[in-house]
Amino acid sequence: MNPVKARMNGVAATCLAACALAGMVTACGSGTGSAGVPDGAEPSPPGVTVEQDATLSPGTLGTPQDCHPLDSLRPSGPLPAPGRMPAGSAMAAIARRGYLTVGVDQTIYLTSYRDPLSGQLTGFDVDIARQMAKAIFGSPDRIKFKAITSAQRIPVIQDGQVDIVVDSMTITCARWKSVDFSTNYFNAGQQILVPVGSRARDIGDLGGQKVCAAGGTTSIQEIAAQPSHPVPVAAPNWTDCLVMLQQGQIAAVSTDNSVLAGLAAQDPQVKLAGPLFTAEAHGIAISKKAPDLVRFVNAVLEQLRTDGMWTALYTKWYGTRLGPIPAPPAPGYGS
Amino acid sequence: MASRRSTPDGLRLLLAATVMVSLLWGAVAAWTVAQRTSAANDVVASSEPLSFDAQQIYQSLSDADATEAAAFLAGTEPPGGRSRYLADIARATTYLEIATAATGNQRNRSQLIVLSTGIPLYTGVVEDARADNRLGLPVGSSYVAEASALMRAKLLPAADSFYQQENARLGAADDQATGLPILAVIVAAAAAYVLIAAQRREARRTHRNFNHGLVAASAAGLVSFIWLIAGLSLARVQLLDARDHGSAPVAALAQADIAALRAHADESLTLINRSGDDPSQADFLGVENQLGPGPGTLLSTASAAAAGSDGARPAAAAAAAAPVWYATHRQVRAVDNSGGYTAAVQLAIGSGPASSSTEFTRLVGGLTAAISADQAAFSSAAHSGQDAMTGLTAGMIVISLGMAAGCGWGLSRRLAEYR
Repeated sequence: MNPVKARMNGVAATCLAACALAGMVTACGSGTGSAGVPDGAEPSPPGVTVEQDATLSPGTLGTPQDCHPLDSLRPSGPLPAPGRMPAGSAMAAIARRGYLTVGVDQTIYLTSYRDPLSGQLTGFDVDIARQMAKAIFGSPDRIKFKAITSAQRIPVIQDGQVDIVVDSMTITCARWKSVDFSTNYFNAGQQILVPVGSRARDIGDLGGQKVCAAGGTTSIQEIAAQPSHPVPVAAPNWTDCLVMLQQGQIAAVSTDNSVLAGLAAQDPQVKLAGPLFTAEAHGIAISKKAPDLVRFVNAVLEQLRTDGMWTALYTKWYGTRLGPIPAPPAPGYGS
Repeated sequence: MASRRSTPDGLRLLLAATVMVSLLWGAVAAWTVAQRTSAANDVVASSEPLSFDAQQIYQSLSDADATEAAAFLAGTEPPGGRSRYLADIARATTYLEIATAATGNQRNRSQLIVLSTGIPLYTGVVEDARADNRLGLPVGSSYVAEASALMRAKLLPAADSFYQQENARLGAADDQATGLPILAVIVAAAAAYVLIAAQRREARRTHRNFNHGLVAASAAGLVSFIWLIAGLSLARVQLLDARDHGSAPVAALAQADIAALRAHADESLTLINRSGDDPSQADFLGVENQLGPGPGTLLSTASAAAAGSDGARPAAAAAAAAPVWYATHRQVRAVDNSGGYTAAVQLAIGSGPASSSTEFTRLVGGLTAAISADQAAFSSAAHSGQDAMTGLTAGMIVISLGMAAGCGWGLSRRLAEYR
């Protein structure tokens, strides 16, 4: 990094912190130097905040002794044929409506994103969601996507705005209190993404530096909980983190390796670094009022694991970007 | 009256008083005209053009924001969208350059610096977004959001503040050019009193009915007073006409135009966000309430301001087009909210006769036509106002010198009778 760029980063960082403190990030951006000459630094994307005291509420991370988050509800017998949902079930209500509603991210390249050329949502999570529509209707296109940010994942389920959320969502005991989860359909782990020239080898080297994640995620809490004390920067969308990394406003992005691989695929000047320092099991979030839908979704996931579709979708989207192609995650059931 | 001064001394005093009052009248009348002419020049050549430049900067930047959002929504970049965006940026930077030169870097310096440093930053972020979109990379959407936030949080407020300041200057210059010439009227009354008193004194003393010099000076004074009042009144009528049927409707129409552009960008941003009714949709509804038409709204104010002006018809057409556009916008939202995203995008940005974008174009087309008609009306009336004052300054000076000469000649002849 040349000295001018480095100085600009410093100014941008100061400005970002000052504005976040003032609670007016969108008004932030290029400030004015002592001689009345603006620094010309890029502004932050809208809605970015520096989490000065991202303290963890008890129980949000880690697993209490009496909680088994990966145990979901067991499928109730074989899958009903498409178009023949059991009367009175949540699936029958969806079939009557004519389409499945799904909350997805539209900014996670490879996992769940809006293809800028076609305008269509696509990716691994989107394909998993389409498999659910296919199981209910016989057609993967009887589906309505609602693009959501990470922070909206639980509210849209609780408000009934969507039937399911398929959005790289880590299954945790804290979240089980608000929503039900399917079985684990993807094993990920938190890692860091840094510029190619960065000397940081893992999260431990980022003490005092800005590290970005989407707000309302376990990732931002993990960043705040690191003993090296990085400064967590919360953005509405994952691509906002990449924008700030490209503009030198932050030192790293840290979240699930599947999300980071999608960011790295958009910019050859950044790289994944260090070991996975968490294990994140992704589940489909469903309303606590629809246990029959949870069992149905788990039955569909069973089928995807056994008929080779899961591996086909994994290979289609991730290939060997995350290492050798893994076997589908094994399901866990409590009742 | 035995204690009065000797007659020659009295005559000398009278001579001095009448000559001085004539010259004073000439000076005040000429000064009044010079003030008016300068204020009118300020209106025509400086503050109105600057206020218009500021509007153009704001309008083209808003249009760039809306066009960029719609182009992103379209996915594959529509060729018309790109050229429109480029034309917007060219227009904004051209008017910025003109405005910067015209203000001589004295006023509005901070706003102009924000604009001239912010526009390249904005276009840079937009080009980043464009490059990512062409590669099919979703990070482009975050660059679009960053560019739009920069536009709305920094550039548009700077353009708005520049516009408000220039508009306030225009109002002040207008008031100065059209106010009542009180000082000139007072001095005219004083001059008339002195000249009439002098003639009555002479008539009493000499038993002659007329002092020809004083009569000629009085007649010249009356002519100059009538010319001054007529010239200033004519200029005032023209300048008020320029304001009421020109700059005032242009300002009101521009406000409506800018609000419409903001709502149009909101419509695209809501679809880009793909989250159903989001904050941008809430912003649309807020802008819709301000825009109207309805009592006290921007479109109604603009239509009322434009009534009787050349822009009245296109302004009325714009006001009529707005509800049609809102109805289609609601349809876009309804289709999107019930799962028809692709159909909603098509309805929003398609080129069909009933698409939201076509109806929006009708609304803004009406406003743009009204603005350029009223801008032309302003220009023509304001120039007539300036013309009404042509030659007045020189006329006032020449006539007042003539008056002084008349007084001097008439009273010198009387003084000569005592030698």
